[in-house]
Parts: sequence; C-alpha cells; structure tokens
Amino acid sequence: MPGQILEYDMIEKESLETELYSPFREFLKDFRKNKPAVGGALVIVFLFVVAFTVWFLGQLNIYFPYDPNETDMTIKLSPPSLKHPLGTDQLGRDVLARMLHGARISLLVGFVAVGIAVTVGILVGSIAGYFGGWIDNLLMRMVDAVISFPSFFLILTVVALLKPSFWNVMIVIGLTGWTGTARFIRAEFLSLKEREFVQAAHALGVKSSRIILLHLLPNALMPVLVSATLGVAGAILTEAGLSFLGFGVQPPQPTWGNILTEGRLYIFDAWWLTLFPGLAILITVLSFNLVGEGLRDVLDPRSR
Amino acid sequence: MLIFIIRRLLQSIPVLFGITIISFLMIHLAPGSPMGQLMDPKVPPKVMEEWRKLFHLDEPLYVQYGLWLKNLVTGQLKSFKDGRPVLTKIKERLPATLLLNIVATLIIFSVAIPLGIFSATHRYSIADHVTTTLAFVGISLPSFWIAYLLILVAVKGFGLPVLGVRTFGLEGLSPSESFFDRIWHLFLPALIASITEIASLSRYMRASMIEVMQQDYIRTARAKGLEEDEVKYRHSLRNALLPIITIFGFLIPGLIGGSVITESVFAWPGIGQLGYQSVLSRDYPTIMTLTTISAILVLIGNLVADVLYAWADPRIRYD
Repeated sequence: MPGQILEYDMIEKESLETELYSPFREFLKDFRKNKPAVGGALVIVFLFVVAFTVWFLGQLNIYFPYDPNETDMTIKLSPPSLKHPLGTDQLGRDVLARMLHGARISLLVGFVAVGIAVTVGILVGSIAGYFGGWIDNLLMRMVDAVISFPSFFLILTVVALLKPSFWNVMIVIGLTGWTGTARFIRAEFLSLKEREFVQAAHALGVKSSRIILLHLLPNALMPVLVSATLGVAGAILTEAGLSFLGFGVQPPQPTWGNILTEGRLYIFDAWWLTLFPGLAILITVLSFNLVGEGLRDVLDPRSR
Repeated sequence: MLIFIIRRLLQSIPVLFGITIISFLMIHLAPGSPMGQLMDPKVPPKVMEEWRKLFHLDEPLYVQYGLWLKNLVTGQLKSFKDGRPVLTKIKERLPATLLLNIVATLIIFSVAIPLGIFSATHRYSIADHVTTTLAFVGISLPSFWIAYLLILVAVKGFGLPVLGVRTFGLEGLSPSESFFDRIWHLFLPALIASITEIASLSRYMRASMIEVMQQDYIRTARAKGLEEDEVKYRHSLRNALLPIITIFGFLIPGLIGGSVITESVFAWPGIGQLGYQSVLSRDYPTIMTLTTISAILVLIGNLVADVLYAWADPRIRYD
C-alpha cells in the first residue's frame, strides 16, 4: 500500500537524516510553493523594514524623504512630481513622507489588536475547554454576548466616547475580536484532553497549568495563526474605517486612514490624497489575507 | 425543532440582557457628558442641572438603566438630541436602509453565486485565477476608499450627481425621469455595500462546490454515465448550495442595521447614518436602542441560519 511505503520512507529519513527532517521544514517547503502567499509575506517584511527604518531615522531627526510634519503653504496641494512623488497635502506636507511614517501605525494597530484578541481568546478558550462544566457554560455565554454585539458600531461608539487615540483604537478592536479564537481553542481542547498523552500527564500528576501550556496549547496553536493573520488584515481595515469617520488615530500623527480622511475634503482638486493612502491600505490588507489563506492551505490536512 | 427554537430563544434572553447592561455601562461610564455636546458653554450651571434632571442623568446608573428599559418597552424613550421618540426616528430611517440593503443583497447573491460556481467548475483555469485574484482584492478593499474613487469618476468624468436619495433641487421631473434618478442614486451605494460580500460569498460558494464535487456520490453519478452538465448542476450544485442558505441568516442584521460607512459616504438617510449622528451627539437613548436592536437581529439571524440549515439538510438535527 502506498501509505505504508510513505511511512517507511519517513522513518528511513528520520533515522538517516535526523537534522534534515522537521515538521517546520515541511511546513516551509509547502508554504514556499504557494506563490501569492510568499509574495504577500515579502510585501509585509518590506513594509516592516521600511516603516521601522523611517521611524528609527525619525527618532534621530533624520527624515526621509522629508519631515512628515513640515508644512510649506507655497506648495500646498501640488500634484505628484519628481520632487514630491506622491504630491503634497493641503498644508504642503509631502504625502510620501507622511505615508512612510504612517505605515508603522497601521502595522502596529493590526498586530497589537490581534495580539490582544489572540491572548484573550486563548485564555478564555483554554479555561473553558479544559475545565468544562459551569465555567465553560459561563464563558461560552459571554462569548455569545460578545459575538452578538454589532461590532463596528460598538467599536465606533466606544472609541468615540473614550476619545479616539492610538491605544483606545487598538484595545477596542482587540477586545471585540477574540471570540473566534476562544471558540476554536475550546473545541480543540475538548477533543485533545481525552487523548492518551494528556491522560498520561494527568496520571503522572502534572499540574493543570502545565498540561494546558505544554501539552494542549502547542497542539492547538497552528490554526490560530491562520485566524490571527487574517485578523491583522481585518484590524487594519477597521482602523482605516474608524479614521475615515474621524475616530481613528488623531492628527498630526500621520496614518493612512487620516491622510485619506483629510484628503476627502479636497477630493476633486487633489486625487492623489485619496488614491495613494487607500492603495497602501489595500496592498497591506491584501498581503495579510494572502499569507493567511496560504497558511490555511498548508495547515489544512485535507488539502495535502 | 420547535423545542430547539424555543430553547434557543430562552437562552437568548440572558445574553440580550448582558449585552444591554454592558453597553449601558460602557456608554455611561465613558468620560464626558451629553450636556457638553448639547449646550452652549455660556449656559448657567443651574440650567445645566435642570437639564440633567430632565434626562435623569443625576440618578444612579441602575435607576437610569431601569428607566431606559421601561421607556424602551413602552415606546416612550426620547432622544436627547431633539426630544423626539427614538422608535419614531428609527422608523423614519428604516425604509431607506431596507431599500438599500435589499438591493445590495440581490446584487450579492446574483453575482457571487454564479461566479463561485463558474470558478469551481473551471478550477485552475485562467478565469478561475482571475476571479480568485479579484475576490482577494475585494475582501481587502477599504469600502469608503473605493466609494470615493467611484464618486470621483462619476462626478469628474461624467458630471453625475451621486449623494442622497435623489438629485437635490431638481423638482418637477417627469415620473420616469425621477424614477431613473432614484435608481441611479441607489446604484452606487448598493454596489459599494455589496463588493466585500460578493468577494467573500463567491469564495465560499467555490469552496463548497469544489468540496461537493470531490464526494463519492458525484463520482458514482459520473461513473453511471450521466451528462457532465447534469452532474455539475443537478447533483453538485444542489448540495453545494446547502451551506450558502445559512448566509441569509447572517445577512439579516446588516439588512436592517445598515452600514455606518456606506451611508455616511453617500449621505444616505438610513439607520447607519442615524447611529453615526447619535454617536457624534452622545445621544445615549438612541445609541442604546440601536445597539439593542442590532443585537436582537444578530441573535435572530443566527437562529434563522441554524433553522434554515436544518430545514434544507435533513442530516442536520438539533435534539
């Protein structure tokens, strides 16, 4: 049977080339075959490098290509040119410089919000799945309640009432996005905790916290990676939407969302203020979506 | 089935109370007061106090919550902003939102489902790659941005008016002209409201169709010599559509809740815009009522999705 030959092959490989075979290597090999996902990953790495280099240089008062907050009313709303490749805004600030400095905010909002969401989700999901009983019941009703919140409207309300700021935006987006992870981790835990290796750990008297952290969680974590990657895309879009309504990260701190918002007042005179930041958001979100889908394909055993 | 529905409805009650209490606390504990938005800074503190009394803002929170609930149920709840009953304000906005979202839903289903089927039956062809790429772009698009680009093209390129439900200041049009004017004003917002959903639903349809086409009974159908079209459109499609039915349930909240962003961009006088305005003016009763209505709709939508699924697929049972 082909299956047996395959197994034999793997054993052979493992014994002969132990340092060559690892699940992570396999994973990388599969992932590399997915061209769009690799493209997306490269774009994300590039964005990170650019965003943080520009930010770091900014801390040292070296600005590239210009100081994002330097105004020059003599050149306000000038269209893209060699000197200002993406044009200037209503205060004569260079749009490219502002977008480069804004990239860090979009990425940070995405990652921190998802970080919060995943942490809360894992915490709630593990506790509910591991302990079961009334704790599970209580936590899952809580999940039901959070899922039923009209999320964008809720985020909008809370951010607006708390006064929009970088931190509020991230925290609120994060605190509304954890339910998927929690449900998933819980379901995984319910089935994993009946397995022999967990029973064995119980029999050996291993503490609950240790079983959760070392025996259960590593086995449930990979698919969370998929939803986290897609979550970053969603969080960046939500931040842009909030910015658009005037409740995102506030000026003068440039973000892609608020360049767009300021630009819409001049939409008929300065299309570049609308086109470029939106394009940047689209490319970033698209990259995260492609990587997320790529990860899902690689991690889904049915697609092998 | 009936027992399942009743049980789910009963379970929803505590969830609903939880939601209203949490939103009430969040809204009322946030710093700032609606008075700040409502009043001139020159208004003497004494008048401010009277206003606070009038709106019961001086009472403890649990009393305020009780009052809100009582007024909501009896339909007496009044907006902070203009003192009109909240339910009347929402009712006024409902037709615009319903119209927009029904049209958007029709667009979503009539575009996404054929697109998904086509992609699945022509898997890995150039057309499939193109639709897949477009779907990814569609999912990643910031809707307000594409809306502004469309407005820019429509206004600058073709000189067409786009905002509101009809062209402002054009009175005395013939009925047919006025009808087409309204259709045009409906078209762009409905398109924007449907782009993301078209993209995700077509992906969903494609995946569902591909999964069904790999099943054993499809192989059997082919093996017994059925026409390929018959296999695709009778055997596969019917089964692939099953999970799609549940989407109807998930569309219910959006159908009535409206979209804050689309309605704001196009100055569409619907519920989403009302929500945005009440957030801006800290109109607590309106915000609370809209949140509650949306939560009820989400709960109903989930229930409808489950019921539809069980109705369409006899293998699903809730006992």
